Amino acid sequence: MQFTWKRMLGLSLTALLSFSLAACSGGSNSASNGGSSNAAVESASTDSGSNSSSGDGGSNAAAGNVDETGWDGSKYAEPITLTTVKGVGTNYYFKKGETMENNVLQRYMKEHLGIDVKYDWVVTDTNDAYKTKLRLMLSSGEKMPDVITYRGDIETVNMLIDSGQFMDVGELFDKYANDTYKEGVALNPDTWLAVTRDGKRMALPILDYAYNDDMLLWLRQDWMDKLGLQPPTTLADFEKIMDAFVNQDPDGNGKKDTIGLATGFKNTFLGWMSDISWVFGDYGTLPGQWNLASDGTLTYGSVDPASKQALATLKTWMDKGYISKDSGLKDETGASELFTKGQAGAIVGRNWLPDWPFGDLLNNVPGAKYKGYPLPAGPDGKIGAQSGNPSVNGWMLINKNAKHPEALLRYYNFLFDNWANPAKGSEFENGFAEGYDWAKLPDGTITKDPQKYPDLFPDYADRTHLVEPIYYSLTFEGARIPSLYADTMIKLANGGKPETPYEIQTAAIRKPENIEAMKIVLDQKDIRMKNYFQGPLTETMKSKNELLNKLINQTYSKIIYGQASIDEFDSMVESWKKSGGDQITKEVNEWYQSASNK
Amino acid sequence: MYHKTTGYRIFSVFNYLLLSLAGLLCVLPIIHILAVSFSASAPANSHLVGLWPVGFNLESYTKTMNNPNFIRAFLIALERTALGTFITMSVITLAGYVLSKDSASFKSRNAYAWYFVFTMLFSGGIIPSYIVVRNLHLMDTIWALVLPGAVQVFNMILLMNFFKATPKELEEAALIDGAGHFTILFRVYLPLAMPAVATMSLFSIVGNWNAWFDGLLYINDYRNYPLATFLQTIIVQQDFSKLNPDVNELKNISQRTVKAAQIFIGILPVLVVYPYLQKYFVKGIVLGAVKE
Amino acid sequence: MSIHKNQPYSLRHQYGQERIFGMETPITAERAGAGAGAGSGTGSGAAAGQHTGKKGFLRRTWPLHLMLLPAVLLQFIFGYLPLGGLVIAFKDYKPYDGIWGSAWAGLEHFRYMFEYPDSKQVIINTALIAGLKIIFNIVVPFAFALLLNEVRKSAFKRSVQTLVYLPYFISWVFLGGILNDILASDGIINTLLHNWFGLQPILFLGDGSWFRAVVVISDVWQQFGFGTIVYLAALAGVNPSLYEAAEVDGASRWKQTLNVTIPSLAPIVIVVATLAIGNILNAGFDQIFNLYNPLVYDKGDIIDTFVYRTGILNGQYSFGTAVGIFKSVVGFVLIVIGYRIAYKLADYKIF
Repeated sequence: MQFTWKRMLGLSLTALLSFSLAACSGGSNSASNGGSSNAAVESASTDSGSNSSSGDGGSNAAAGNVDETGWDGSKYAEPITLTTVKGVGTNYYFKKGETMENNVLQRYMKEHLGIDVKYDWVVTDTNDAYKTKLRLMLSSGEKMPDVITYRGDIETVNMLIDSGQFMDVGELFDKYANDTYKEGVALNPDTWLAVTRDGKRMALPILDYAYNDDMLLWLRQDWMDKLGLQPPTTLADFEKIMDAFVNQDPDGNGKKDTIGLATGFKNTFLGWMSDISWVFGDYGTLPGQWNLASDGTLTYGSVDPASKQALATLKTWMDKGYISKDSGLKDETGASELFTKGQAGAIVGRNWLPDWPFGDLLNNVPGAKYKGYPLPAGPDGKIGAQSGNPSVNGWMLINKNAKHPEALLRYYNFLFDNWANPAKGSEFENGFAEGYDWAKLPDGTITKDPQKYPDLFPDYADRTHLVEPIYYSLTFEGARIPSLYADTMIKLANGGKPETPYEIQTAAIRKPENIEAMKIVLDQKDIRMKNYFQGPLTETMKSKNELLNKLINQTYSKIIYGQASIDEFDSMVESWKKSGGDQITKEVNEWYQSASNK
Repeated sequence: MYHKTTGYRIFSVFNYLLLSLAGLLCVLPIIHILAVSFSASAPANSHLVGLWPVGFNLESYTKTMNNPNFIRAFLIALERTALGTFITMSVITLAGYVLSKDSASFKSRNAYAWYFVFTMLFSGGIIPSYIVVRNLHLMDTIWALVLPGAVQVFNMILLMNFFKATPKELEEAALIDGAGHFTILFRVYLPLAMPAVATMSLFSIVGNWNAWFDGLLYINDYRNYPLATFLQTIIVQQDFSKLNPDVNELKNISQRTVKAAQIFIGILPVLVVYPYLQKYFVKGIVLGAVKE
Repeated sequence: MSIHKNQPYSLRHQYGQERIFGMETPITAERAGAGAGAGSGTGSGAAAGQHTGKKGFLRRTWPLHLMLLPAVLLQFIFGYLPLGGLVIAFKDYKPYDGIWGSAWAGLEHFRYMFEYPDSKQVIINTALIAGLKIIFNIVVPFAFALLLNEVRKSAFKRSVQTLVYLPYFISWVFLGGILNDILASDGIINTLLHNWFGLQPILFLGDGSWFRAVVVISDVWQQFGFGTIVYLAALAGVNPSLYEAAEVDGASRWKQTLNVTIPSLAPIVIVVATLAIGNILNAGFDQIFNLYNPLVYDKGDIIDTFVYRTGILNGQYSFGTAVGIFKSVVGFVLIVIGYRIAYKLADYKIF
């Protein structure tokens, strides 16, 4: 009792003092230029701070072909320190004794590149913990690390850019990025748009595989075969298939308990799975994004007259039971469950659905088969589906005051050169490190099964998962060449023999339906309708988006459910325009003008 | 006497039926959750599990418990719960005792009461709280978990009202015996308010056991998370809209069984502690405590 | 001590008065202290003799201040210091500029809240849903505790008591999933309604009126076990001699409940109710967020879901804080009113 009392008293008093002190320094921070002046807060990260300067100090001493940054062509002659923060994904696994701060990849990079990555803090990234921490760090005026990598909503990236603590990376990129990285970025002309401010590129993109977010139609092939149905080429064909799925008892249980298409529009009509936006595409528009009109201006798809036709179609689908009566209550995952439990015969989604969640379908419904098909065309022959946006899966920001801003590019270059598409016989042919993400059996074959061969994967803490050191990298999955995935899949789909380690691995782990689906995606790639607006939220968007989205989602759902007449659409468009939609259209087009004139 | 009348007997039958029904209504979802936690992930993800496991397996539990941090997180949760409950109960008992005095005998009591009530409604939010905790250098310590929420005003006020019910004659008698405030509190008030103290302790225990967000905020080293925070991190959360997945990643997405196991683990202390605390709810104990 | 010997008499005496607050409430105590109690004074003659000594002791209040100190300090540090952050409601808070460095926005965020076209509807939805929840979350646990109190079999009583507490621990993410399943158009409820009454499927979560009912009922279902515990604790504190006295008077069980049990619980009910009305604008974000959808925006959209959609996650901290202040002020005013009413009508100070 007394112990606690004393303890608490002591705590409280020091608390009061330190708070008032810190409050003062916090105030002066924000008034001044921030950045390097945050002495008061620095104590938290002294460790990394001092290391960084001492490492740099030594660089001049190095001799020979070392450039002005201390780089000798393959590594930093004197190891340098790069500070960052990290959200550890819940899919990261570590060997016993290893941590984010001390692990095989961390040591490798230090040894081979002379780049020592230090973490100001590490948080398990669940429930947006990383984002919350980043914002808290920004809010409480803490010193920014040399590098921040962020994967998630663009708003947080904008916030980081707006903080003014990070540099224009354009010059760095032009000077230091290697060709693989540059080609990947050049693949899509829009790559930089989201982070461009006054013509300056404020963050480096983390590239991901292209064509991976394209939509195609998945059908229950066993139902198709059983009912003797032909592949759909038009919306009318597809309606006939859905009708058969609803009325001809495809699962043979004698009950009318099946539906046509698994879809859910609780949150959006432009979903990443169980998508419904393609029906709008069949009438020539896509809801929830900015499409290019014939006169060269951008228009918002949700208020396009074509959307009215799509809604009328969806209403008939709802009336006829083609889509679930609960579609308006389901999000993307919720709707996909209709397919995986064997109730729905169709779903629109990406090429990798066989890996997830279709595995659940095969488990739940023995004998179930699925197959990918091109999206059917609308009454006027139109087809349109979301995609074509830059293959970017995260951004990297570099501190204005970083001693070695170019180090991050060298780090990424190295992974592009050695990891992204390793040559046969090269160091990373089988994975990052033996005993971690791969091992060699006595007969020479490679295994990735720590559960079966515990001796070959020593010090595992949890054998149900492969420890993949590459996740520890600054750039999430190391490096990905955007075109590589699709190219490989096409080669395999056309019967090509897998040759490189990447191709062999892809052939080994990708399901045949997946490979086939990727071919369909590329065959139908001209149906892609990209979102032409890639800038930060405009002023009016900030204040009106919520109201306008609510208006649209509400009216859409009510029309489909027959709770409102189809002509409500027109009055919705009217009030959308009046309540800020017109203003937003103006702002979006101004942004588009300035972005495309650049 | 009264329970021998026919009317009361009929009432009793209905009462037992009604209470059993209510108990059943509350336990069914728990059984469902248990069933999900013991099911294979495919039927669980597709909502095909009812009250009995489909594809029985223990994976969600082994997955959780085989994690090297599980034991540590469990111990930290125990420590946090014990320390947090102790601090909360000490603080609100002392404060509740004082506030149970009428304003005639303690003039400042009203001001103090409003001081606390005010904070029930107004709070500064996450960012300022974080700044305070950080500037106190409490980050990464157990104090960051137990101190900020220690003063449970709602519980304090309830306790205070239970204290008020203490017959003043008892207090006066103790005063005559020359007892001080601490003696009165511990010898007179607390024994009489045991049901309330047990209740507040229960609330504090389950509150501490299940709190997870403060762990995420105030603990920088994920190896020092308490159990509830740790369990949150077990569930794979992906931003699917941007997911360009690895096959290996996708295999791990079986949230529902793990979530179910997590709920069950969260309920555990109630099942362990509550039956023990219930003995303080028995009528008649009050007089027994006073008699000595 | 021999006080308990006197109690039955004095208690019985007061039982006859049918006071609202039973015997062991402060009213009785205060009256006893003031020497004005009708019956209790007889039992404490000895104490009355020591009156002056007691007064002297009680005038020494420093031990009382000391006992409050830990709570006061903790609350100052973790409750009051962060309140400075509320200033961002009046600013255009930009994280990197800090709380003090951000530009002033005056009442801009408050104006936005009230000029929002749907704000009236949203506030009505919130108050209606929260109000119903408050009422039922007092009535149901109270009634349930009374019923449990009639159970003689201890094991049964304890089991039920534990079971009804369990739903309290199920997160709304999970509970929302369960509700979505059983209330689906082909879920168990609709199937039963169809099989028994031949009803067409009802879209419980897609129809505004049904939605409100589902929200309130499921919330009460989840919470009532928690509330019951408080009342059970209060019931355990009711002096058995009151019942003995009542039985001597030949009161039926129903009469005893009316005249002893309910009055004894009344103070706690009033305390809980008064504190609960402070939540009139908190209709339960987690629950609604996990259940609602565009079809029920009309009747189910509440302040917190609205604020969420405006993007508190996207950094609109200022607006979120402004709304929070509005909610707190309303709640505080209501608590003050409740406090006054309780004091005026029932002569009871709840805190």
